[in-house]
Amino acid sequence: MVEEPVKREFIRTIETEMKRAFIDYSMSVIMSRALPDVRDGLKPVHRRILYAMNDMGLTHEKSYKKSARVVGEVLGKYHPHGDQAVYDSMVRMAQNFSLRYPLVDGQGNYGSVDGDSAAAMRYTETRLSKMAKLMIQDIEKELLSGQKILMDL
Amino acid sequence: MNKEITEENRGYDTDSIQVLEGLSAVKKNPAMYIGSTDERGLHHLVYEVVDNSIDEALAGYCTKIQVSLNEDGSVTVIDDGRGIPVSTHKKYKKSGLEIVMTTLHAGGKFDSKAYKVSGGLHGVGVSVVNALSKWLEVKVRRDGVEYHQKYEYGSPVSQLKKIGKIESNGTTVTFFPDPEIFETVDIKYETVETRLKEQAFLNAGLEIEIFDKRSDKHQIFKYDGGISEFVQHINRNKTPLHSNPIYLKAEKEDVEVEIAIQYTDGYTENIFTFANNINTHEGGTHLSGFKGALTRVFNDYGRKNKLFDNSNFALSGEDCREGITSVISCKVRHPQFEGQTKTKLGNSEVRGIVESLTNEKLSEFFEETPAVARIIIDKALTASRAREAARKARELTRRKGLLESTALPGKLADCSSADPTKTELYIVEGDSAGGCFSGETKIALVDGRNVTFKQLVEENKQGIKNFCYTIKNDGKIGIEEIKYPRITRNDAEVIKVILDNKEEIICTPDHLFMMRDGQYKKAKNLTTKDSLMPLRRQISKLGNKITIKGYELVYDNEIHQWIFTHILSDRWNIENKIYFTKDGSHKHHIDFNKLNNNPTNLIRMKSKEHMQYHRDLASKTLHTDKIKEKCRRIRKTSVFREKMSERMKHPKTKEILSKQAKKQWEDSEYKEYMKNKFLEFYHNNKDYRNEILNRLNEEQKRYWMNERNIKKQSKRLKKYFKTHPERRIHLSIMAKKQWNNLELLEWRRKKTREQWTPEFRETRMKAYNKTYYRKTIKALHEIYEKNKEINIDEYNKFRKESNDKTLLRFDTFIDRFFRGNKKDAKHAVSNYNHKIIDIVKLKEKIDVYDIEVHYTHNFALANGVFVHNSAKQGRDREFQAILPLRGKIINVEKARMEKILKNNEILALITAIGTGIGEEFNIESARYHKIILMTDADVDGEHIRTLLLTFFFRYMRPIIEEGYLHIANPPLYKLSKGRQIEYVYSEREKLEKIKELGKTGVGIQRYKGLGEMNPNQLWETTMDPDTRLMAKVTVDDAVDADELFTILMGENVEPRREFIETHAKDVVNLDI
Repeated sequence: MVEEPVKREFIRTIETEMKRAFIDYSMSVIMSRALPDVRDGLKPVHRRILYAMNDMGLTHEKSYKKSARVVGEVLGKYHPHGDQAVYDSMVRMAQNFSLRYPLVDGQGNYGSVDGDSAAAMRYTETRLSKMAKLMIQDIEKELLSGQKILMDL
Repeated sequence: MNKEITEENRGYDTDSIQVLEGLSAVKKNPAMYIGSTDERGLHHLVYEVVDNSIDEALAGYCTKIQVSLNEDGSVTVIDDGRGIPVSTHKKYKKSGLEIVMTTLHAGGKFDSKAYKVSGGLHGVGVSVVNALSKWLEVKVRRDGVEYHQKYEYGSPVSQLKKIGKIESNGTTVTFFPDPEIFETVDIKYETVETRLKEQAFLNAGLEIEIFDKRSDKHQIFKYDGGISEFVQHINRNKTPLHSNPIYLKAEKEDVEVEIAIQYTDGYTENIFTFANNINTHEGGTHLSGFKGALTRVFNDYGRKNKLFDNSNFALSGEDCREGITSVISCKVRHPQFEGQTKTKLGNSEVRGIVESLTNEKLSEFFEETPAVARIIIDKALTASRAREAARKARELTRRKGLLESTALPGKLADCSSADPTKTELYIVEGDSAGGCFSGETKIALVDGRNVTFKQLVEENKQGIKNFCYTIKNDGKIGIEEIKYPRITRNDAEVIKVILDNKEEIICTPDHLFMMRDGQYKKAKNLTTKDSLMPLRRQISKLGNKITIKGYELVYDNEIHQWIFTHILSDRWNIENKIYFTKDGSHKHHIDFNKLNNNPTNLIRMKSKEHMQYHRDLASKTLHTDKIKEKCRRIRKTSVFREKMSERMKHPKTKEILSKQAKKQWEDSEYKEYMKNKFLEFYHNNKDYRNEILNRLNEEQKRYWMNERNIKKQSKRLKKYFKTHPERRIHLSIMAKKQWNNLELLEWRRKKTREQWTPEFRETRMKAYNKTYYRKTIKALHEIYEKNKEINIDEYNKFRKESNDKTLLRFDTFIDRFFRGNKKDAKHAVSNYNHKIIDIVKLKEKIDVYDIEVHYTHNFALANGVFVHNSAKQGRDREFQAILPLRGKIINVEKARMEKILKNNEILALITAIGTGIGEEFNIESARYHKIILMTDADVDGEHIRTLLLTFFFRYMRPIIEEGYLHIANPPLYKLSKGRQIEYVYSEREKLEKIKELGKTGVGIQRYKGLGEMNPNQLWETTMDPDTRLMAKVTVDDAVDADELFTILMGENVEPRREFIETHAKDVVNLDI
């Protein structure tokens, strides 16, 4: 790739472009999307959902909030991808047939083991489960250093 | 190299060098000689020098070539050939070496004595390298002596010197490219490596060594198997159907041909052709000869061995070449290169030779090894069946009109120009920015009407200009012309959005609605929490600083003020230079309709002239005899009378009449007279009396329904009881007495119980809540409007003053309706106008419409919300077309044609480009000569780009070869300081610009998606041909590229994993 173009149009060979684009995509997917981390078994999207819900104070002893609000919070602050992807991940975390100990406590139609899909996020409600509390308790003590994700935060 | 070395062609000495042309200014126009001055041209220098050594190898004198990329950036090429002649040339009185180095088109290649065949590109030779180098050193070892000479910028700076005695022969050239000519002088190891490897394959037995002294990389290429090994090498990541490649070779009439073939289980065709070691990308006579013969051999063999079901059956050329990997290399005495890039072999004699060679030798091979023949023919038969199925699928789609060029895909926003040389197609990731509305949806027009899309289309056909309300880029309200109202999609899926004012909007799920903050959101993603940008209009009344009545006002949501619509229109006219401020201060409605605020209906006039004009016209139109006569006649018609009587009932008319009457009644005589007359009438007319009594009754009922009257009365009562306490006591005694009656009490209790059913309680609660909500939010909103914030104190004051029990306390209001979320409540108050109540999916599919609004790209619907228009991004619709792709397209590397053709995104792509695909592909019918991939700058965007590149490389390669394919380069960052905004396209540029702007207070925004930019920003930075930065996609080495696509996109996982592992450190843009 020509870093500093002189002309307004420059040549790029299909080989360099393919190599560069592919390695960027594949490495990003490998490192931060497709594989769960060995330490907590979570993918980044899951971690972001838990963090955002905890931030919103949606713990298990509080009342449920609309899923759409949680999804909005996650999208806006931590996860710059599609809203449906975030919602689907959250739904999975609420299904007791997907996770032995669901991390999210869902209110409403969260799908069934037969493959029925959950209701749209504007209908369902959500909060963290008790199990999730164990997972994220003491986070406010900042024993581990965090990292900023989106630039505008 | 098995060339016979005869006495004749050993005669390579100074005298065999001829000069075909004098010196040319290579430096002035380097691109003419080496193609370009970018990376590609730079590497060309290396090839040029290496080619000279390879020519020596072809002639049979050279066995080893060493190329080293030196630490200082120079390149050294060493061979063990005969060495460039050094003796003085008879004609030019210079050493042969100097002639070769300083004269264009000089060399031994033009004399068949010295070289039988030569690959040195177009014979421009090493002199070009010399001319384009900062310095060049050459050492020649010949006849036991080593010579040395140095050049700078193409001219000798030292004499040809003997520097020692040496046994071996050969030439060493070291050069440093001129950095003033080349954009970059960084020679890449990988690029050179690929090329050298290819040359080593093509020249069996030749040893080529490459060193990169900058990074200690080192490799030796020596392939005794020649092109057979080459084919195996290409196929190393594929699964071959037979282990050993088929190798064919022949030599006839000074033409030498070698062919190696190996079939794999893949679907693509990979035939690489070379003539004199030059990669002939565009094919030529050798390729066409081979293709023809291959098909014939297959069919002959199949028929002869009864492999076909039907004796009339014939395999097509494409069937025979599915999964083939083949290298054809021919060496020709006088090669003729044709085509745009001079990479097409034109020698017609080659065709016949290749044809007969293939025919003869391949048939022979098939006869000798029937097992392999059987496998290959079976493969071709499977291909034929798949092709048949694909053809049927294609026909089916064609019948549906999907692939026909007349029926362009619905998603394509085409440009208006039809000249393909000027037009551009942008392939954009993500759905189009604009959805559409049902034809019945009404738009609020500036001329006071609310008109449906359907009617707009009609009016547009008649040439009527219409204007709509729009939110300008600065957030203020304005007006803009409506352009291109049209049907945008047939049979589209639609949803119904229900607003809180009970208005319904039917639109496509992807249509963008404008939020209160100016951002857009797709209709399907709207929730009841979202507040929409409202359009509010009213008709002016006198008072409160307003001096004109009956004109339309609109509310500006940015500055929180009501503005006259005609002022907006006036601004538009001035901005568009229809007229100028100096024309006068009064704005005149040409058709005298105060509500028609179309800019076309406005002119500016001097204030005096304006008033006079109105008076003049008034007298002209209303006071002629003709008109008076007309009026008289009209008054006699029944229609007029009815209208008149209606008008008499109008409160205003009544007021006038009552005023007149009151005056009359002031006269006491008249009063007395009328009184008597009425009493007389009243007493003598029973019916009338009853009617009056009834009316009185009704009137009283109505009177007491009015809260204000009740309050008035209650005040009066209070006052009365205050001043008359004895009356109160009396009444209280009376009531106590009355309620002592047990029967009455029982009745009352029973009645109450009956009334208070659970249903009643619920409905009562609901009704109360509704009223509470409505009243409270209204009051709060009014306070918000006045103070630009919710002032709780003022609200409480207002509550006390009005003493309205339906106004809830603010925190009760928050708790009851917003679950205690104060922020939401506040938001609702500030935007209480437009909220979504529900979104309903509709089953029926309808034709949808849209319009375009320039510059601002939004408009207001009649039901009071602003929405995005259909203009695709910020394009120039004259020559730029946009094709949005939804999500990620299919990976064509892993799918057969049949399946690819079923994919809607691919179909849209093919029909939009217009070339067709497969057998029907025709580059001539391309509808655009620039096809630009514009994906987001995130990693998913990069993935989509790889998928698209794969599609173009595998199925539309001519598009790349013709140079049509481009990649858009959106800016990486936006830097802003105060009002100044700069877009930068690279990290380096960013650092420079930050320095320029000063370090402090620079806002940096990284663009990840195209959607982060407003349409006008996108146009400025990425799509405007004058300012945009674009990369043209080229194929450097088809063999290399083919291999890369196989690895990256193919079926086999292992090579891909290997690739990722070795290149993981090269990652540039990691998204974590």
